[in-house]
This record gives sequence, structure tokens and C-alpha cells, in this order.
Amino acid sequence: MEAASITAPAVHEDTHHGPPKANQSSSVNSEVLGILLFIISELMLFGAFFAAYFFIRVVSADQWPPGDGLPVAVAATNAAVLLSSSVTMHWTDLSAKRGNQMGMRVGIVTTFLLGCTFLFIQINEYLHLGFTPKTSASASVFFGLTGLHGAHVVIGLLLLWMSAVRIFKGKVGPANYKGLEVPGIYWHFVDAMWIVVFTTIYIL
Amino acid sequence: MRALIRSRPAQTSLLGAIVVVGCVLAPASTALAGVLGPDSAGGSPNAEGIRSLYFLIFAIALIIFVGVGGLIAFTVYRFRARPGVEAQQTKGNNRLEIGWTVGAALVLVLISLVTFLKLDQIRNPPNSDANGVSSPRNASFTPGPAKPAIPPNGRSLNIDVTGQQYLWRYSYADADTNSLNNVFSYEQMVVPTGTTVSLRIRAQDVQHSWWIPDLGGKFDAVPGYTNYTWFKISEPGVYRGQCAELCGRGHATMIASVKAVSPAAFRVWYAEQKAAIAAAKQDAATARNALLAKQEAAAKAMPSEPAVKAVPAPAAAIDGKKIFVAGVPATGALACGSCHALKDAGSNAAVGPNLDVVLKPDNAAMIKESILYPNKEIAKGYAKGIMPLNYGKTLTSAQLNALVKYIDEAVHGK
Amino acid sequence: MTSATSSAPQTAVPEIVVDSAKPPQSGWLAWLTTTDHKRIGIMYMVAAWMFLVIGGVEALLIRLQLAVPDNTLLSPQTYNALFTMHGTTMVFLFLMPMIVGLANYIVPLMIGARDMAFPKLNALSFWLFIAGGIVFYGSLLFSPAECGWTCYAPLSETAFSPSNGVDSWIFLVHLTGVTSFIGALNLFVTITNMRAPGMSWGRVPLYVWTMLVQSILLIISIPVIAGAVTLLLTDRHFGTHFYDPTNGGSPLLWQHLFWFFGHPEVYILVLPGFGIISEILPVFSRKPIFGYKAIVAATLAIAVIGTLVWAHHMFTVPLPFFLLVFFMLGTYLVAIPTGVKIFNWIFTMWRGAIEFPVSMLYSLGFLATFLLGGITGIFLATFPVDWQLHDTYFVVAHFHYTIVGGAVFALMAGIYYWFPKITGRLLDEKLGKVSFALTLSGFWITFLIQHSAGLSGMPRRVYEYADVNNLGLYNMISTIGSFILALGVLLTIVNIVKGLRSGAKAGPDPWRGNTLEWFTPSPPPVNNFDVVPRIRSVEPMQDIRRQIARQDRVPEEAGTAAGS
Repeated sequence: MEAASITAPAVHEDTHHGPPKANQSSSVNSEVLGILLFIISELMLFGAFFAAYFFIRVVSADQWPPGDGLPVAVAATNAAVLLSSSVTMHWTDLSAKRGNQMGMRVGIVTTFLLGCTFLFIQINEYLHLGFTPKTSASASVFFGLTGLHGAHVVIGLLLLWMSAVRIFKGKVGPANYKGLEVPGIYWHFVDAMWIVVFTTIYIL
Repeated sequence: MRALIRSRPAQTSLLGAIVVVGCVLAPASTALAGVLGPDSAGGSPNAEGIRSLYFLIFAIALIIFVGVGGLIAFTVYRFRARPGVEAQQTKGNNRLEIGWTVGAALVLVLISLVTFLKLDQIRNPPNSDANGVSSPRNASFTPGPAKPAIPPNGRSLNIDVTGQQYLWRYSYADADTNSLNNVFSYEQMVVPTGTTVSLRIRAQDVQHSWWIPDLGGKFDAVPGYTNYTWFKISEPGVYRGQCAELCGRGHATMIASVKAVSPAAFRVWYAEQKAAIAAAKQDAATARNALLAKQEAAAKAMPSEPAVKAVPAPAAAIDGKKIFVAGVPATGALACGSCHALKDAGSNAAVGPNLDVVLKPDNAAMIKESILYPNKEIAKGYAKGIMPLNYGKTLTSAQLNALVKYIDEAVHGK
Repeated sequence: MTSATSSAPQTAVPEIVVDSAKPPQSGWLAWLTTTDHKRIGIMYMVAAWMFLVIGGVEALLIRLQLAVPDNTLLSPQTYNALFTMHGTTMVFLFLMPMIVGLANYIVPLMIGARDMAFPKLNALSFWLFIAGGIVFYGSLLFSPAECGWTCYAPLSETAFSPSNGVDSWIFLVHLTGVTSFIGALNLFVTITNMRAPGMSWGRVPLYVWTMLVQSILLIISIPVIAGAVTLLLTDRHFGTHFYDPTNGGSPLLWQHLFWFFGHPEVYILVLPGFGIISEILPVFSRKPIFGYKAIVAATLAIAVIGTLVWAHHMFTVPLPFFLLVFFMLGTYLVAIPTGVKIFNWIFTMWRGAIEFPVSMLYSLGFLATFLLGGITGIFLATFPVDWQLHDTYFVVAHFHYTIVGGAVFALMAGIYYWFPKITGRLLDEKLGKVSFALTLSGFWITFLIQHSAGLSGMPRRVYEYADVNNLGLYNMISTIGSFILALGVLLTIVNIVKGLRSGAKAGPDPWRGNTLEWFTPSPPPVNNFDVVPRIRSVEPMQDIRRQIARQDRVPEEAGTAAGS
């Protein structure tokens, strides 16, 4: 290792086997940075669907709402369900940071069940709408946006499931926290996205 | 940076030479059309406008290309590695860098200015000449989200251009609101000279693009949208073009042409077309009447034929209850009531199951299926193969539907 | 040294103690299961070159059909399928993976990292790209898509394209989209988090900067095209009406979504090229890059402006006038940072001592070609002129000048520059110069004349044309040029094969490079670096050489020393 003599003092430590530790050149953890970039891309994906909404509702002026009125009350209930799941998710996070095993377990189960409730209500709404994606372009957009969001809830639930498994195996705690933090960030994003979808589809 | 300054006179003279070349090239544009510039001459003022704008930008672009390209060539030649010559370790020069940023911006400002100066000639149609032809007032295009290209005095010849796979259709708007009565043509459009022709461009199936190079730029025909353009031809002749947006396998053969004739000749052509359409309509009406008369005569000649076979009677006239009670003797359809009980029909036969009971959970489609394919699902306590299988043949579909409707209503209430 | 705490004798070689270790896999299995960024990078590049050959053959068939007017060599169906496959292949299956592959190999080395941030995702990304290629070319078994690489709706809807070729195309976009997205995310995190000690943002090599910015562009634009093709898929198979104008849908929606991806895509393809050039020019001019900060700023500016000008591809559809003006002026703005870069590159060479290995020749070819591509872009950005030139061969010529000039020539330069690092062997310079001459002249002959074809009224995507306005002559010239170009590319492939077999040993630093990848042996070991030097400038290797010179050593030794 002649090169070593050229540069800074040798980096090798005799007690450490294998190559020296990699340099971390930013203060953000890689996994967290990854999920944030992923969320940016998700925003753009929703953006594409919102562009479809804009073109069909505003530019093409297709009849809105599709069918005879949308069940705003049901969707609002669903918004409440999802928002409260964000609160319980946050509580799970706090419990994990404090090392509260019981709090984590109750928190993650509650969050998961609230997510399932949301999906259940959503599917029920679909069945009673009286129109299908084939009815018109605006109906396609309705199903496109709510369906895209529903798919994200499903992905979020899968991530939560994986976190729950880790929690119940006792693998998550204040020191080992990434496995919960990353799905948590995603879940908050899914919840926030529903507020946007809900506002544009049901209220505006 | 002293080196830079030292070489500047050489550069300036180079640039000067380029300006001269550019100025010589621009007027020679007609000769270079098709090689260095758009090959569109003598058509319409908008095409002329685009061509002159192109050559203005071309002159600027040529100077940039030769200047920068020459600078690259000079640098590469002059500063090739030679023994004993060390590279100068400069890392940048703020003044120089700000200089060429501003310089690039100024060139773009110049191009923008040139474009806006030429824009009026390209976008806005002039009035037709005094002897020009124009569409009737009420045939003008109603402005939608996009603006029709109409001359200042509002007098233009308005033509609807519709693209379809792989054909252009032209329809000359007139006072008749039914566009089927308008003069129309395919592929070749006939227009008068000295007239501002305003086009409304639409598509029937996929996207197409209207383009006659001599008559101005492309305007896409997008299904669900309306596009507008215009042209005004001074010289008689045929101007050719073709669809410029991929529209399928026949895209290359979707050609278009515009034939410009004198206004007088156009009026003659137009009148001929109008007369031909009227004559064709007359012919069609005569043929239609003859056909109807023939049918009527045929119907009268065969009175004994059962009505069911000749012309199916309208659905409303068929009495489902009557079929249930009496069947259709002419075709051999047995009466349902002779085997099944149904309260509404007053029948209480017990060969087959009581319909009031067994059909209660069924809807119309299931009832129909039970009539056509009785063995598919057998009510408890009854045997297969007792009910006739021929109702699909002995009843017309109208009769069948009426029967199903009747049974459905009888069992479930109206 | 913490040997004080260790009981190991001073003389002992450090010993690795593990409880259990899988024996390293060998042969093809090692390649299939690898998560090493270098191996994945090589697999990307090899697969990309296979697709380049396929896409090239398609291009030659297209040129053969167009060689003479009213040719009947190919049916319209075959012709439409060919240009669809050619465009799609070159963009999604050659350029994107080639760029990702090269970056995969070089970027971690340049920043002194031992691998990418997420090695497993990296492998997943590669295999998804292969899956995308297979799915797309699987359509050869039934009926390939015929809607062009833009697949405009409603032509791509089931009513007008009933064949499943369009579905193959959609899945290709999905799969390679995920590939690019994962690759971009991985690269972004790698560059942000794994730079060598001392490599602050002002000392990041310019190639790494462009890859970082390119990653952001991908993360922003890929999801939009993924969404767009998903809507097309549901239109085709689930009865929705997003693009169906007869039921309230909008064909322009497709165009906006497609070009919102499609225009940044151009910069996704050429920004890495800018980066490669910014690395090679200083090395062979033996000068530092001129205006490092300006080039970084210009890269960022190009990315930001480039995301906002997509509708200049749509000047001929019904758009409000103010949008035409907005998108024209926005597009003009891109020319400013691009011009800044070109001048910075020229002045990097100014007063230098320029050497001309093949990679430098390709860099100069890039400069000249991209310059013309950029200038013809000004004509197309001017919407009234675009009305005349849109969808003609002028446009075909323009984008080949920008993309072949901006991306392919730069990648060629990169291949000749980094091949010694990747394989440890040098490419044949003489053969390289012949292939460069053929490639460059072939390219200019093929595409320069296509401007004239377009100006003479030849629309693109036509399988036949009438012999008017010299179109026959122009097209014949273009076809001859395309075969010269193909020969040039073929010679590069020959050169690569020859170099692998019998190229001269390169040593760690054959070019006297500036950046960190030349610090490690060629090819680099699995862990890339045993020791990562502290970074003090944009040109760490120069610093090391200077330090060695100060220690009264010959400069060449720095490289060999690192390798031992």
C-alpha cells in the first residue's frame, strides 16, 4: 500500500476486518432519502392522473360529476378514517422512539385496521355508485384517481404489515427504527394524498 | 487572458466575412429553396412569411455556426500539443463568461424580435380581392376555444376540412345548415384565386395533419378538437401536400391538393357541383319511392302468408298473455297454460311446476332461459324432457320477449 | 494505528476471521447473481450494445426502403413497425441502459464509493430492463406496434391498433421506466451519501453532477409516462375513455403527458454526454475545466427550463396563442445555458496542449454535431417556422444531430476513455481513428441532407415518396451515409472485441486522468479502493501527482502505486 503513504495516515484498523467503513457524505440516511425520492415520483404519477382529470373535466368539459352525484358523506367519513390512521401511525412512531413495545403493537394494529376500513368503505362505495369506468371519460377519471389512491393504500398496508411483523418479533426499537420509519413516511404520504384526491373529486 | 485579446482582430475579420456571406445568401434564397430553406414559393402570403422568417433566422444561425465552428477548428488546430509548449492553467474568466451568456441572450432577443415582426403576415389573413368569392354570412365558423382565421372584413370562403384514414374531405359551407347538402370533394380542393380561404380542420378517427407546403404551415386535425388556418392564392395552379402526422398504414398515401382557378371558373364549378348534388338527391328520392312501391305491391300480392313470417309485427302489438294461454298454432308453439299454473292467466294445470312459485326468485333473463332451455334447471319433483325444446324456433324473438315480459310481470307484479 | 489494543503480533498479516462464508461463485452464475456495481454496469452496457445492433439493423432497413422513390421493398405495415421499433429501441433499450450502465460503473469510482447505495435494487433494475427488452421484442412473434415511438392516441387505441404490439410497447415503457427510476434513485442516493471524504459539492466531478441532475429529471418525468401508458392500457383493455374523444376523453392529454416526459427525456439522454465531455476535454487539453461553476449552473438551468417547454413538440395542435409564445420563448431560453457550456468547452481547450486520442476525437465530433443540432433547434422553436418544418425530415435530422451528437458520440468518447479502466486493456488507436472517421462522416452524410429532404416537403414516417423536388437524390445520399455510419460502428465493435482479447495492458492511469477512478487498478478490485484519499479539489489525481512531484518522485508512479 504505497498509495497510503501518499495520502492521509493509514485508515486500516487492525481490529476491524474487511475494508474500512464507507464515508457518509450527507446527514440524511440513505433509506429515508430513498423513500423521499420515491414519494416525489409518486407525486408526479398522481400529477399525471390529475392532468387527466383536468383535461377531461375542464378542457373537454365532460359531464361532472359522473352519474347522479357522488357520495360526499361516505368519502368524508373515509377521509376521517384515514386521517385518524395517520395519528395512530405517528403514535406508533413515538412509541418506537421511546421503546414502548405495547404502544408500538397497539399503534401498528390500529393503523392497519383503519387502513383496511378505508379500503372496505371504498370498495362498498364503488359497488353502489351506479356507474362504471366504462360509462364516460369522467367516470374513468373518477375510478382512475380513486383507484390509483386505493392501490397506494394497498401498498401502504403491505408495508405496514411488514413493519408489524418486525414489531411483533421485537425487532423494532429506539435503536433499530428504520423498518418502521420508512413505511411510516409512506403512510403519511398516502393519507395526505387522499385529502387532495378527496377535495378535487368530491368537493370541487 | 492577454492571449485572447491578441487573437481578437483575426476573429473579428472572420465574423465580418461571415456576415457578408450571410447577406449574400439571404437574397439568393429562391435559388436555395429546398436545399437550405423551405421549398415553398408563390403560394400564399403566410407561406411566404414563414419562408422569409426562416431565411432571416438562417442568416443568424449561419453566422453562429460558422463562427463557433470556426472557433472550435481554430482552437483545436492552434493549441494542439507541441513539444515544449505547456498548457495554460486557467480555470475561468468571469467577465468572459458573463459576456457570452449575455451575448447568447441578445441573439435570442434578436430572433424573437424578427419572429414577432413577421408574425402578423403569417397568422392573420388579409381581405379577399375585390372579385374574391365568399361564403354566405350565416355559414361563417362560430368561434370556439380556438379562433377561426377570418380576414378583417369577415368575408372569406369557408371550407370544412375533415381528415379520416386515409382521405381528406372538403365541405363548402353554405346557407344550408345540413352539411350533407353542401358541395363537397375528396382529396382535391377547388378554390378561387384572390380569395381568402378559411379552413376549419377536424378529424374523424385518428390524428392527421393538414399540410400544403406552398400554402402555409401544418395544422393538426385532432379528433375532438377544431383547428383553423387560412390561405390566399394569387396564381392559378395545383398545390400539393400530404398528411403530416402518422395516421396508420396508409399515412404515406394520404395526399391532398388544392386547385386554384379564377373566381369565375370557381363559380361555374361550384354551381355545377350544387346542381349535381341536387340531381343526385332527386335520383335517390325517385329510387327510394320506386323501392317502397315495389314492397307494398309485393305485400298485397301475398295476403295468405302469416303475418309473423312476412314482416315481424312490432313488439307492442304482440300479446304475451295470448301466447301463454293459446300458444302460436301456426308454428306449432304449444300454450304454456296447458301445462303450467299461473294465477294471472287463470290457468291451474299441473303437468309442469306452478310458475307463480318456481319463478318467484328468477328475473326476466332467467325466465327466458328457462323457456329456451327447459332442461338446464329442473324444479324439484319434476322430470327432465317433458317440456318442448322448440320454443326458440316456434316463437319469433319479439314473441318470445313479449311472453317473457308477460310472465315476469304476472309473477312479480308490474 | 490502534495496534496497542490488539494482541496480534506486529509482524502478522491481518487475518480475516469468519464463522462461515459462502465460497465465491464463479462463471456465469456469478454474473447472474451479482450485485456489484461494476458487473451490473458491464452487463448493462453489453446488453445495450446488442440492442444498438438490433436498432441499427432496423435503421438500415428503413434507409434501404427509402433509398429510391416508390420503393416496394417493405410493406407499409413492416415499415411502420420498423420505425416504431427503431425509435423505441434506441431510446429505451440502447441509450437509457447504456447511460445507466456507464454511470453504474464510473460514478461510484469517481466519488470514491465501494458500491451503489442499494446494490440489490441495482441488480433488480438491470433485470427489469432485460425483461422490458424481451417483452417488447416478443411482439415480433405476433405483430409489433406500428404507432411510432410516440404512440399517439387515438391511433394507439384498440379501435385503430387492435394488435397486442401496442401492449408490448406499453409494458416495455413500464418495465424500463421502473429500471430507470430505480437506477436514478440509486444514483442520487449514492452521489448524495457516499462521496469520498473532502468531496464537497464544489469538488464533485462534472460527470457526476450531470448524472445527479439527470437522476432528478428521471425521477420527475418517468412517473408521468408510466401514468400515461397505464391510462392507455386501461383504455385498451378495461373500457375507460381517457383518450377517447367520442366519450369525453382527450387525445391532447396523451400528447401533453407524453411530451412532459419526452422533452426532459432529451436532456436525460444528452446531459450525461455533457458530463462525459466535461471530463475528457480537460484531460486531453491538459488544462482544468474552464468555468466549473458555470457548467454546473448551466446543467441545472437546462434541467429546470427543459422541464417546462414540452409543448414545443405540439405547436401544430390547437393551442391558445399565448401558450405558443410561452413555449417558444421558453425553448429559446434553453439555448443560453447550452451556449454557455459550448463556450466553456472551447475555452477549456484554449491555450491548452491538446492531444488527440480517439476519445478526444469523438468529443470534438460531439461538439461540432451538437452545435448544428442546437442551431437547427432554434428554427423548430420558432413556432411559425415549426408550422412548416414540424413532422418533416428536418425534424428527423435535428433530433438525430442532438441525440446522436449529444449522447451517442459522447458515449463513444466515454467508451474509448474508460475502456482501459473497465477491462485493464487499451483499445487500438489506429482502428479507433478509422472507425471514428467513418462514424462521423457517415453520420453527417446521412443526416445533413435530411434537412433538405424536410425543407423539400418530405414528411417523416412515410414508407414511400414521389420523386419530386430531388427527394430521390437526397434519400439516396442519406442511405449511402447510413451504411458508412454502420461500418464505423461495426469497426468499434471489432475494436472492442480485439481490445478484450489482445489489447495492450493499460495500467491504472493510461491518460493521466483527473478524477478518482484512475487512482485504483484497472480493472478495479471488488471493493474498488483499499484506501480513499482525501479530496482537495475537482482534480484529486492532479493533487496526488503534484504531491508526489513535491516528494521528488516521477509522476507516473502515482497510478501504479495505487494499484499495488
